Amino acid sequence: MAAKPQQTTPLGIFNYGSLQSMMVFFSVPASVVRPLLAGTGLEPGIFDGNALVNLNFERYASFGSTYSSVVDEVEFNAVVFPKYKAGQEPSLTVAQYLSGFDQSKTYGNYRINVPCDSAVAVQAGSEKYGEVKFVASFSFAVPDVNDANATSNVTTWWIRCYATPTAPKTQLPYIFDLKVNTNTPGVPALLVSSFSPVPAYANLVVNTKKQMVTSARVIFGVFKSWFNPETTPPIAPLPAGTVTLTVGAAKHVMTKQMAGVFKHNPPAVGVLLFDSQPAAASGHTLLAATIQ
Amino acid sequence: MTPSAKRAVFLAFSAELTGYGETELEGTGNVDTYQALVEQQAGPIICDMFYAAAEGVVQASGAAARAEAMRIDVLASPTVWPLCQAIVTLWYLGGWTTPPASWYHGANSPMPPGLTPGNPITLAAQAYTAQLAYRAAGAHPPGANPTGYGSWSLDPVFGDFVAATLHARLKVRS
Repeated sequence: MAAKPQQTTPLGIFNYGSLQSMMVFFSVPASVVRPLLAGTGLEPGIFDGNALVNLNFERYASFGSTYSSVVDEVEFNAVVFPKYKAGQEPSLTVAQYLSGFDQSKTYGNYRINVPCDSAVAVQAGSEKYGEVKFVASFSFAVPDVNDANATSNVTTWWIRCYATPTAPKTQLPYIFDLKVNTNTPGVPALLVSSFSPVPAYANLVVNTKKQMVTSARVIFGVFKSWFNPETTPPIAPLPAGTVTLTVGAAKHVMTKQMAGVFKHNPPAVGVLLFDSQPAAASGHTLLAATIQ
Repeated sequence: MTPSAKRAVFLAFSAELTGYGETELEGTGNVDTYQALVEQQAGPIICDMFYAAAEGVVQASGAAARAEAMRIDVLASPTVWPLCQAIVTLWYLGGWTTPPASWYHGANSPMPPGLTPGNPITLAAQAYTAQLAYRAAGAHPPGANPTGYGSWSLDPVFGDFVAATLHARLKVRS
């Protein structure tokens, strides 16, 4: 006789008004990830013999009946599966995983930490969904359709994350500095990946006891992707200069967590990007003649 | 940071960037000219970033700590590092090119008035005379510093051992 289905409590669905999500994946030894998963009921997924972590820079808009909100955040994720599914997780290479071949949707992101520049989003994410999140600030310069012009076209990604709610004037100290240049010579050709939905796991304390929160972010479109798809495992890293990650000197637990995970300068193996379409566009033209 | 503290940081950090000691850089007579040029070209917002990063490097104790501060505070910055590259060029070649508008834009800093992006700036004669490129190559800026009596009969000698070596070799010949 089959076991009874597990009882669940729906926690609601959060709809994004717009979303820009750039996930940068690094192949790291499982030994540097496991300490961060202690007590979570989660195990690191193993791909090409290593664990996967990612930094997911997100900009999103959201709306409610009485508010409009714009949020910038970076998820520092480990790709994991829950221990209660141990033995059922599919065996995949990094390239297969990044291509969206975990159709069982067993693997998901565990948010080791999430710096976020919206106090409301931090409170909601922490209290409602069990995300590990804190109020932070960013400097960034990233490609955007509204800045794609001849004089100031940004074609690379730069994100610097601070431990303080307001960015320091000197841009120091910081938690991490991330640069991504998918135009670097030798970067594999742009592909698309049906990566969505993107599962995630979190722990929420209910009545003093920890419970697992499962979720899936359904992205309404494909991701652009840059990684080596045809290699025999282990996956070939992206060329030097494609991804530059520097862990900074800000006094914060996330700095320590990142220093531990990235201490041996692990290779970046893939970049996934989703950039939602504008909902509308407004163009303006100035006529030369003066109004009489 | 006081003006004198800024000068000290600029000099010490220039030493870090160029590989020449503070005394040698002071000896070029260009410290004040170069510092004024950098501040005028960068503007106050970027200068704050530059001095904070530079101070982090020069105040770090020990080579390893300085290298770490350079890696974290300087190299990672898309604002500070390009400025450092320009400063290295300034010391070694005595010339400056006004940065592109995108560099100021990226730092959320207005371009100081009167500047033209990409405009090459030729400084005073002293910048040409004291440029480090010739010194590093064991050569002399043509038309400026003379090479000295008998130098035409000697093999080229590179680097900063020039003076001592030349003196020693001339002594041997005499």
